[in-house]
Amino acid sequence: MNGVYICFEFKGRNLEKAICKMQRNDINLYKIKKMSQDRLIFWCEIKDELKIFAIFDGSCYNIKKIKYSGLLYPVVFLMHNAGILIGLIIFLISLFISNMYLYKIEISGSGSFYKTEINEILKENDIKSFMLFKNLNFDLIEKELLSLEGVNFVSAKRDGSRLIIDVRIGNSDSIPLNRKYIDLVSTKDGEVLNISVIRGTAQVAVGDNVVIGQSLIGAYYYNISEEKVETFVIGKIELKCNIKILYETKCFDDNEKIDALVYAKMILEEREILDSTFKQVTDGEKKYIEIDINYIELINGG
Amino acid sequence: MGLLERIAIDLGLDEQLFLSGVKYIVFDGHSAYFEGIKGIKSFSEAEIQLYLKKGLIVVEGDSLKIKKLCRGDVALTGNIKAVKREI
Repeated sequence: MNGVYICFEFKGRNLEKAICKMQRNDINLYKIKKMSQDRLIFWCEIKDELKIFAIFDGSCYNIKKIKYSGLLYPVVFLMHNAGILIGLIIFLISLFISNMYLYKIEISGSGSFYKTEINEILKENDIKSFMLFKNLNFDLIEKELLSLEGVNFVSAKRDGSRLIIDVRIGNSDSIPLNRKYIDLVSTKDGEVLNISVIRGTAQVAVGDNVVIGQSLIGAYYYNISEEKVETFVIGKIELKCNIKILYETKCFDDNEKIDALVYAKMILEEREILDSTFKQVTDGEKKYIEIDINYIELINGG
Repeated sequence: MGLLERIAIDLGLDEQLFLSGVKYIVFDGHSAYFEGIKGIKSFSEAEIQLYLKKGLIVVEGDSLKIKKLCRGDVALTGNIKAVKREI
């Protein structure tokens, strides 16, 4: 069966008469099935639907539509349900219109920290949300953004209703712009316990005493030709540092010592304590426990 | 030229008989096709009675179903045991 068909259920007496009546009215019937003495099911073309109701108007048959079938049924369904069709058309039109506009600008890549500058450049070129995509000049965007310092790759492309701008810096994506060739310097006074240098040149050795601000790893190295080449410092240094902490107390018993140590640990945060000594100090009526602590200070570079 | 028309010519039937009379064909007892049917007198899974211009055709069998009823054409399926002509 091609086209669109409808299945009817007839209930009543003398169903054969009903079939003959439809046959006389040129209604083609298919898959006629007598379910019981007073119940009949059959299929007919959808064009005959109204004809059947007209023929049997006022008759003693109970007529019921059961279902539709056929490849073209969705079309017929939409024709009979104009609301859905209109809704669908409105949806498609709004989808089409919304697809024409730029709703969001997304900046990605290692140069995304240039967001403010990029937005300014876009603003200068009248590129903003809710503008028509057809007015967008991707080549111009790329050209303008390439003028930013350090930017060596820009890609502007459309993704649905978004504008994706991929901005990349330098040869390596991992080196931030604000990074310079500077030495790793000591932030504490202390003795060098351990030194690891991945990039740069060590300025101190294990056992050396260093002071605040002293260079620990130089931001350079010598190549095979003995030429000095600047580089970013990557390395780690452990310093043995000393600190004296005063803890106010009421008496000098062991519990107070423990409390004083807890207090000191709190001040030193996660630093590893090597050793500690306690001393009782009085200042007029006030009593203090002075804790002399040697701890490890980790200085990282890179 | 249709199959029935060709058969009619081969059998030497006169044109009047061919045009006005009922024609039917049974396919190995499984389905049958009738032309020149005026209506359905009764039908059940065991028996279907079809009106002709003059008389009836009675089809007997099991699980009989009317697959198609278009104007004067009727297509039946099922286990057809007999087709009788009753005047």
